[in-house]
Amino acid sequence: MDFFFRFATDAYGRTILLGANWDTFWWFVAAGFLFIALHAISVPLLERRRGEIARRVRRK
Amino acid sequence: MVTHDTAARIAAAAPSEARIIRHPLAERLFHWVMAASVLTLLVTALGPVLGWNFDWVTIHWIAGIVLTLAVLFHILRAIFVLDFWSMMVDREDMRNVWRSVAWTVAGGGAAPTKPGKYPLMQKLFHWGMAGWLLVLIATGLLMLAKLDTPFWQRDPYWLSEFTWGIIYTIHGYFALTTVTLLMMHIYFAVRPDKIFLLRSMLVGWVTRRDYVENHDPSRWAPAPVDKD
Repeated sequence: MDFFFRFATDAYGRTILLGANWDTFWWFVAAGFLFIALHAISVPLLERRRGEIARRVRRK
Repeated sequence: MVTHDTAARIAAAAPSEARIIRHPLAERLFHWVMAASVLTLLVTALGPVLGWNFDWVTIHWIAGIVLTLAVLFHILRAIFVLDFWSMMVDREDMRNVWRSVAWTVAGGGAAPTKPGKYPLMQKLFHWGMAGWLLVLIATGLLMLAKLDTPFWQRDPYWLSEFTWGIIYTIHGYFALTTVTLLMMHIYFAVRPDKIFLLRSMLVGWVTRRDYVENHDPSRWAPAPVDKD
């Protein structure tokens, strides 16, 4: 739970939820870079495949 | 309703470098005001988290109010002035998803057609981002109750500690996810094959060549304007 949330103790000794754990910030940055990398790699491959199909369809 | 006459007029009459308005000035101003306020909100929220200490709260809530007003302006314009339905996912978009999958995976069938003003992924990103920002705005406006401003005194006991914790958590994680979405948005904006869209968000127009290569005139037929 501590990975995702920040907690504190109130005046009565109870644990209270403060909010998101900011240490996860870099995970969101990493997710952005991962998406960009996967997209940049997959688009040329998909374009090549679609080009091959288009040429095959035109030949028929 | 787009007519074939309109589409034919654009295709035949305008030279390839003729300009076609894609984003009127009001929409461009909205976009860049929103961009500036979102960037300000992210820097003021995450700067202190990354160790950059400054008095961020005042800048943050003022940027939040600017964003709220900008979004309100855009919603009203989208409903009453702009072509609201051009941003809706329609039957042709869904048909193209199927065609694209069949074309790429099975290697045949009908080829996917060109989109109207907005491609499907742009529509989905718009609605996703819109939903994200509305959650951030709603939770942010609630959080204003915990701040002293020139307009009101803070009232931290308005909601229970647990409820505040939930609101702060939602606001925090939606803000963090906005970082990922913003990275994706900037990546798509600067891709060479989509750079004409970024230019249209700066200057308002696309060339007729961009228009013909990337859009289906029967689904989006704006009036061409003369080149300066």
